[in-house]
Amino acid sequence: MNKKYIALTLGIVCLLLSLGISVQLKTMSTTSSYTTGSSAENKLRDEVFRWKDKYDTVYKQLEEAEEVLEKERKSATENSTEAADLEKELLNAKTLLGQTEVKGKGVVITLDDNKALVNMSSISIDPNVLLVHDGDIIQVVSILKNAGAEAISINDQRIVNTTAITCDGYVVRINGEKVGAPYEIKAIGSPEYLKGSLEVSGYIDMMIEDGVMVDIKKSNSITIPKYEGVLTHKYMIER
Amino acid sequence: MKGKITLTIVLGLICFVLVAVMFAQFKTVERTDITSIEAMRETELRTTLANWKAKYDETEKELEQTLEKIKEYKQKGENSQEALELLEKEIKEANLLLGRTEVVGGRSNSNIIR
Repeated sequence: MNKKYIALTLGIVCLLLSLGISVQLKTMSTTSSYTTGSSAENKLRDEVFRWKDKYDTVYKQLEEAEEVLEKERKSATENSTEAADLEKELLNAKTLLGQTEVKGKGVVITLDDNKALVNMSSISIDPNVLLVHDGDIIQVVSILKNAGAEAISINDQRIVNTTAITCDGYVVRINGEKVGAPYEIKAIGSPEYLKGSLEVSGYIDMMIEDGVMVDIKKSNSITIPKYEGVLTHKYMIER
Repeated sequence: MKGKITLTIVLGLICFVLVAVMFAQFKTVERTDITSIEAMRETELRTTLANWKAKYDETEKELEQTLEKIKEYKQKGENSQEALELLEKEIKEANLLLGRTEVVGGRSNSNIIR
């Protein structure tokens, strides 16, 4: 009886041990396949750096070429009033496209996650509502546009007609660039009207009720940078 | 008595090996978690690489167009009529991007304005 008991105990322990070893071996083989992927990832990372460097170089060349073009344009138009008017019109179009740095009065809205409440594990609120989402930013930008904002930027990313605001995990992607909280939205336009439109919309109150940190300030001097990128069209042609 | 001591030692050794295997397993699982995050990063890296390549191509094309414009202004700038035509062309392109003109689709080659 005693021997049977010992054999049974040893058998169970050996079974557990064999199971443990086989699980360990299986996990190790899975891990090694990931390790192979990791070296490919290093190559990819190098590639990303290489293309970023190439882009930076070509963008710098483009900025220099832009300055030269501006000078050439000026010298070509200085003797003609008609040409000078056209140059003004072109500059105005470029300003509307977001291709120039602009200054003016307007509002600065800061949206931030409620970090204090998010970190409190004891609260029963869904932490998702305490964070600023892409949808919140899109909504605020729409209200500002509707209120006549002439130029808008979010954390120095100029909003142009091709700008997409999308969710990318814990951050938001604007113009393809990752942007994290706090989100500083600058808008040039009538400060009173912009601020009033935001308040009247009720969306700001809703965010504040949810727990998101919101701050709206009027300002007489706002600088919005130009759009850092290229505006292209591949498929459309004028009718 | 001797048998009991032997059994205790054997059981003790087996339990020790079992605990060691469990620890090794936990550590491996932890490492596997990290590598899976890296695998996710790989997907992200591929997207980022594609984005940089596209941005580079667009910027390079725009640089070519800008250099072409500089050349045209240098050649035609002295003639005010030709300079006007160049400006009008640029305004036309800007208006197209601003949505001030009615457009149709169908062209396959790219055109960039700055």
